[in-house]
Amino acid sequence: MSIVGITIAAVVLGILGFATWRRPRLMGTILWSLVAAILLVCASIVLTPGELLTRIIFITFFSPIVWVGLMFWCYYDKRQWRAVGSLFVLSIASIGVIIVSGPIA
Amino acid sequence: MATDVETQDRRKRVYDLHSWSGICLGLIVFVVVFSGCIALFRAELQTWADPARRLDLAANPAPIHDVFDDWIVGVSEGKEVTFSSLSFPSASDPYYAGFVNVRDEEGKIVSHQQRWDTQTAAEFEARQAGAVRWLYDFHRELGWPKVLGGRQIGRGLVGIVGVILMLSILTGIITHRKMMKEFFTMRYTRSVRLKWQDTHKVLGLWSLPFSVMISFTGAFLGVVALLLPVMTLIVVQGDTEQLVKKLGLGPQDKAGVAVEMLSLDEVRTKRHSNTDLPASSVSITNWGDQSAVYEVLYKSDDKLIYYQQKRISGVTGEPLPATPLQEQNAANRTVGAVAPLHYATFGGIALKFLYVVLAIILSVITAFGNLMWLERRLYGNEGNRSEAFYRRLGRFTVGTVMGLPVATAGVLAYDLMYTGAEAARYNSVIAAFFIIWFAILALAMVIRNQYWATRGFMALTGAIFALLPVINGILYGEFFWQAISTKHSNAGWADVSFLITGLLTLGVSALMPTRRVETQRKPRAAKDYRPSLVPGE
Repeated sequence: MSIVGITIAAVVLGILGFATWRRPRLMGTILWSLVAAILLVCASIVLTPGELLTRIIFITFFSPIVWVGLMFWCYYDKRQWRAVGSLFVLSIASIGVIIVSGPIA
Repeated sequence: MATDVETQDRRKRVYDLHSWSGICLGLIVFVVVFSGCIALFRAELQTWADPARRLDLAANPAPIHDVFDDWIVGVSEGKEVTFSSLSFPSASDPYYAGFVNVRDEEGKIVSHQQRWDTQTAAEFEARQAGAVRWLYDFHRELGWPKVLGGRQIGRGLVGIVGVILMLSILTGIITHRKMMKEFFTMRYTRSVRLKWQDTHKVLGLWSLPFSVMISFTGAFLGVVALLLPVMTLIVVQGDTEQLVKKLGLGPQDKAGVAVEMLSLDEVRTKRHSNTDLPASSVSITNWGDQSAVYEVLYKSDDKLIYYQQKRISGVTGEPLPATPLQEQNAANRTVGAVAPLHYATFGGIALKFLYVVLAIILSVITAFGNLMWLERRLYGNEGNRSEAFYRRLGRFTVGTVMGLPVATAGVLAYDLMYTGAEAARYNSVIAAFFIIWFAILALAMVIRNQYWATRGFMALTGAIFALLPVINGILYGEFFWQAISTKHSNAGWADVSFLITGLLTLGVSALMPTRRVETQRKPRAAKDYRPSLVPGE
């Protein structure tokens, strides 16, 4: 990755981080819930047993519901940082599961 | 255990989420939902929109195989044919329709289309895609321009609208504690805000099952199509080639031996062995080669599946193993039910009309939600901006909401009367659509009385819809009472539907108020008085 690319990525992450610090529930709803939903669905596909295509289809089928549930949780939870923090933890844990399990094809 | 204050705070947060997701994206939700009303009838409106397609369907359609083969040879001119398909005649599409992709010298894919009548298999020129196709594309992809990502991005955005609608429904349900009471509460004689609020709640509650279904299926069709490649890439950690091979989705290798293809006329006459459905179309891979495969589709109009599918050898007709995506397992059946549920293809024309009524109700719910938000700020004690700001926002809302129906009706009329070059028809229709819509929006921004503006725009919509059958009859010499009794009655019934829609809309506009009705508050009785609970106040 070039220096320019790294710089742009750092700036974007900085802006997102600042926005999350100022408005955690809003950023959780707009962005982090989507990231967590995608990674959670991927980790679920990796972890669940069964025929590959069936897992991909069935679990992806529920991805809009997972996404909406996570968005709702950002505003439902009494503690704003508990909800948003949990999204980060879920995302990191999902990445860990995907990396440790290796490619499933 | 949550205290009362915590419960109240939570309810307020959820209400704010409902309110803000609605106000930020409510107009886009309205646009997608309303445009779906016409998209539902795409198949039925095709012969209405294009008189060249109002052909008589022969009881025994003329053979097409040799004609189709000659056509492919003619358009390909020896170059590689990457894909071809043939649609068989049906009541709604009484002609053969061929499609072929050819790779040119530069490696670019060039598409060709042709139609043949069923009496003599003679070629005929049909109109290029027009208003009906545009309204369908607008609903599915917002007509998203290629320079900004094209159809895929547009489809994803429409899917996000479905997700936001799901969120609004969930937060709306959580916010309303007295749902059973609200099912039957309509306070028409009270304030304007209460009238809109009760309408919003009652319509929302009664149409809840439909709203949940349409939002989820819309979100799935839009968002999952965008996210599935991303998720697949993550899961296989980039090794997509291996995944494609494992799922049997890779291209079929050519044998390099030229042979005669299995007769497409024979394929047309064979029904599906399990369901007895007639063949509706066939997609062909490796036409003219020993390895040719026919994917025969049997369209279903009374089941929760778009079509049944069978793979056969394009040479011998022997059945081939189904690909993993074609197997009739629970996963494929579940996903296969989403599109029929969304587009109401499983219950006939009556079901589609029910969907239209419910979709209009959902459009009204989103529009009223926006108006309630504005009402609280213009005539209540909420909001920090000036009155002028909220009035401009109100005019913008009226212009957007009422401009879409006018543009929809207007562009259907425009397409009927279009006399320009066929190649430019589609782009011309798009231009006309947005010009009409923005013209109404501009008018709405300058008209001070928004009630009068709304009534006027609704009357204009009704008038245009009611005139569509007249324009159709004058231009093409066949009025609806003549068309209904012919074999291509779809066009006649489409005219009847437009006439009824137009007259109903005119009737509703006549009943609408021309000015804001003053608030009528119930006089407070002496016994209702309660002293303030705040000390010292």
